[in-house]
Amino acid sequence: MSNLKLKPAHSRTGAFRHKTILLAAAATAVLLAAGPASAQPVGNVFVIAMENHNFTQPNPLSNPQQIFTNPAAPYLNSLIIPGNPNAAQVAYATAYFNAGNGVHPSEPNYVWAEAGSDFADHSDADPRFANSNIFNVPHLAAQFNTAGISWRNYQEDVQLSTAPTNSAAGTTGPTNPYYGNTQFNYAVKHNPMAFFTDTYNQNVFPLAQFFTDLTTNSIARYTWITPNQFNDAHSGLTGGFTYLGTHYTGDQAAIAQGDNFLSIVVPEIMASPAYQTNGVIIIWWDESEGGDSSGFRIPEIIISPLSKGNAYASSVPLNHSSDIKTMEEIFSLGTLTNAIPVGETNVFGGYNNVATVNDLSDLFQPGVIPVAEGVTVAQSGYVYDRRTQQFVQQVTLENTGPTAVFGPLWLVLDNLSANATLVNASGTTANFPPLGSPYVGVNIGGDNLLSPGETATFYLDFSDPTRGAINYNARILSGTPTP
Amino acid sequence: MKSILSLTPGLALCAGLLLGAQAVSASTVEYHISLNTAALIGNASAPFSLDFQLNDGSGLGDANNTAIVNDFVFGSGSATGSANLFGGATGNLSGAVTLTDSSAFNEFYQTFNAGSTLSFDVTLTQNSDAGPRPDAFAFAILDNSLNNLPTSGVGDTYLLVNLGPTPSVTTGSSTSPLATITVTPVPEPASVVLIPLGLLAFILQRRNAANLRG
Repeated sequence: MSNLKLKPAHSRTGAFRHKTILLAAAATAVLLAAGPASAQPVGNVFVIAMENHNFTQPNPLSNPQQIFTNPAAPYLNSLIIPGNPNAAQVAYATAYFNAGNGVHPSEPNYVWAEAGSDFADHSDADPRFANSNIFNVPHLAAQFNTAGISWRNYQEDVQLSTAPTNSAAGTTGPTNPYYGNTQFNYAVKHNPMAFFTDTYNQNVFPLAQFFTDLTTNSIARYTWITPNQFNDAHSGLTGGFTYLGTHYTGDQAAIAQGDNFLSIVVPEIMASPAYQTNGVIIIWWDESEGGDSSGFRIPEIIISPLSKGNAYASSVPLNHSSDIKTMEEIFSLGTLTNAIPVGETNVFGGYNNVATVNDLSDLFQPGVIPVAEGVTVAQSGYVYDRRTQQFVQQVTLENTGPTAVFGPLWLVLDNLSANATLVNASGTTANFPPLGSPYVGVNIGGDNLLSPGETATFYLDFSDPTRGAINYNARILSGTPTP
Repeated sequence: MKSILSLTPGLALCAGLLLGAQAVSASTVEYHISLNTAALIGNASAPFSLDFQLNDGSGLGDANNTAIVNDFVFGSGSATGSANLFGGATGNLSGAVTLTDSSAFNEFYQTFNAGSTLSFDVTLTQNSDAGPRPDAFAFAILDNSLNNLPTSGVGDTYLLVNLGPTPSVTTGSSTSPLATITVTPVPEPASVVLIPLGLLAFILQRRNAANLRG
């Protein structure tokens, strides 16, 4: 937008008034010509979860083979070829990495897709308290619930299970409309909302319901789709799969099955009003295969009228936390700050905290993804109190975002100067790296929320016998009982 | 920035702080500070000291801000003793005190015999520091053990000013015994000049209206 401001019109007469009108018209024309077009808000979001294949890897033909240039994935590859009609509304990532070192097998990646951490869950077990894979923490679907944003979780074959938290597989199901036989396989490990106490059985529907909702234009703002384990490219069908005249077996069959599924479902979504009103389809994969280093890159494909389009290839480093961050930005949610276990570092040596990762904005037209808002930290200068022999600083936190931030709320002081000690620290970080940093609990009232516009002011007391410089990096954590 | 701070006398220590700010130039801000110090007269914790600090927010000792404290009026009291200087502090209560944030910690204090009132002026530069913490000017009163008198302000201060293009002011009042504080904005000098002009325009308008009616 231009910074030009037109002064209020004053009473003018004759030629002078005429000139004023002309000048105003000219200025308006300049504004219209120079200013970028207003970004349109993102409509409905559709996430389709795929399985267990790299986009690129050091050896493209090592098993499992990569997706890029794979002959068993002609549809997917058509999406990323500039000039291909299928790629007209596509942008994709070339540097989407595993969520963290050792974040495997599948299940922790789905948990991460919801919460920005796997909470050290490294199993594929169905959610059970005995398995320590049921979590009572802030997560994306809970944020949607709090904000009143509709979401639905479509799980293919879930109707063949006794409950959304029980996996089910067999050979005597109904004929699958995509691969044409009766094999079925619902895996809870691929159902992200199933691992949280508040959403484990909430808003979960069979996949067929999705197409009904698509037809009746009753799609939620956020849709998660998990195909069964054959259609998500996890497992090759017994007997293989013939796709476009070629019979594939083993993992190549799994890739072909996934490609076939997407080639049917994606165009159906794109033909719907729910998509055509600035909808976004995210074709998401769960994890890298063969390694977690930068040589193993995961596919991430965005299809939207608001994407940069024509198979735009983004080299911005991304990961599952980037998807969460983008959803929080699109839907004006707070930032999840769940702890990432020590050692689950990214390819750069840091941690993929939602607050600090790149969002997906490079895949979209400029201005489409709103800038994240959150809690700001305003620090006063230091004053030395001779009565307490401590340096005192006043700190004010303000929620500048549009939604409430969950408590408990903590201010962590990373890299505090060695000459200083935070006297009124509540403890030191043991779960959220960097570890060993002092933190204070912030009183945000009995509602345990920092509402939009709400502030919380408190003092930090430092002992510093040297009376030297006191520096630190402020970090906000929320929603976790133990920083 | 313009404000008047006044303290209502408390049970024993009746400290009144009158603070008015004048923008001296685009890069400095001035406050007039007034206290009711009657409760300090003959107090067992005397002699008291006036304590001023200008601490560097960046910690670099970048010397990018200066505080000048002058025009001390002690009422029936007087400055006594000698100045105690730390870091970039110079001067004394008989003339002017100057603090520069040439170190992380810069402090001046000196004893005084309290009269019924105390006033002085503070002129502060308004440069921002690198990083999230501003330079801060602070004013406190120390007892004869060199302990801050407890206040409700930040770090037992009566006044804390975070320096920058838009300085933020935090005030405190004595808590033992209790004294309360009120803050009243006052117009800038330029605005003060405009007030009579506005009144004149109003009078002329009324006069013209009356003539038209007549």
